[in-house]
Amino acid sequence: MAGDEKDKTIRVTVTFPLGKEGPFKKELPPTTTVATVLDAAMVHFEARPAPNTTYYLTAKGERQEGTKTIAEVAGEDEDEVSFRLVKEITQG
Amino acid sequence: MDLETTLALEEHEPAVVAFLGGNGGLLERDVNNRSRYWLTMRPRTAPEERYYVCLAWTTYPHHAPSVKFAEGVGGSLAVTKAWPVITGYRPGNFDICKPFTAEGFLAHPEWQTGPEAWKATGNPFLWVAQVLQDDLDLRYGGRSA
Repeated sequence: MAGDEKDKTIRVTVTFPLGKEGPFKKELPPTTTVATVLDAAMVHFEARPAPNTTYYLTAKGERQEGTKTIAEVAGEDEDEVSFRLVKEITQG
Repeated sequence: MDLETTLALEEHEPAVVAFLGGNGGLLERDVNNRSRYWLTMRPRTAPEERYYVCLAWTTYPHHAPSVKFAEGVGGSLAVTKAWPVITGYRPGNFDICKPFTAEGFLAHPEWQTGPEAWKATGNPFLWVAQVLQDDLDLRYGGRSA
């Protein structure tokens, strides 16, 4: 039903080994972008942007672009997706 | 090895075992030196390849580990062919010049502060394993000559 689709959410988990907190977990609409999840996860883990430092999300072994939706990352008929927050430092 | 290092490594080790296992790898603890580990890893794009990482902690989780590639588990650390070609990995020097290794921080004292500074929060052992795996998966340029 259309109403069911409208109310559908995807369970999102983001892990970050250096985080003081546990994983970031939230149910979000399928149209939520990876960039939105990245922003929320960085706040959760208190990860701050800095020169020479890039944060991004990986899932299923690949770096995920910010413009993708979590539904696209999760795949058809999937109702959950797990990301890993990656802190990449470009060497000096 | 001090008590904090012993306890913290034992607490964090299972997550590293699970992570490496999920990527076709393996974690083995050195029987003669309990602060030293041998990681068997493979790049996602070249699953037939095997790389052996010798990871040695001094005080965990407060300082970055020594990270070197070996010709096998327990094998020589002075074989250039044991190294992958990845930016920042220097087979000729047998070191990794990036801010997650003791060798990198030794070469760049300025990394002790700022965004490159070593983070002792969470599970740094798992973080190091993930950095190595990401480099092998996303920045791998083949085996060194």
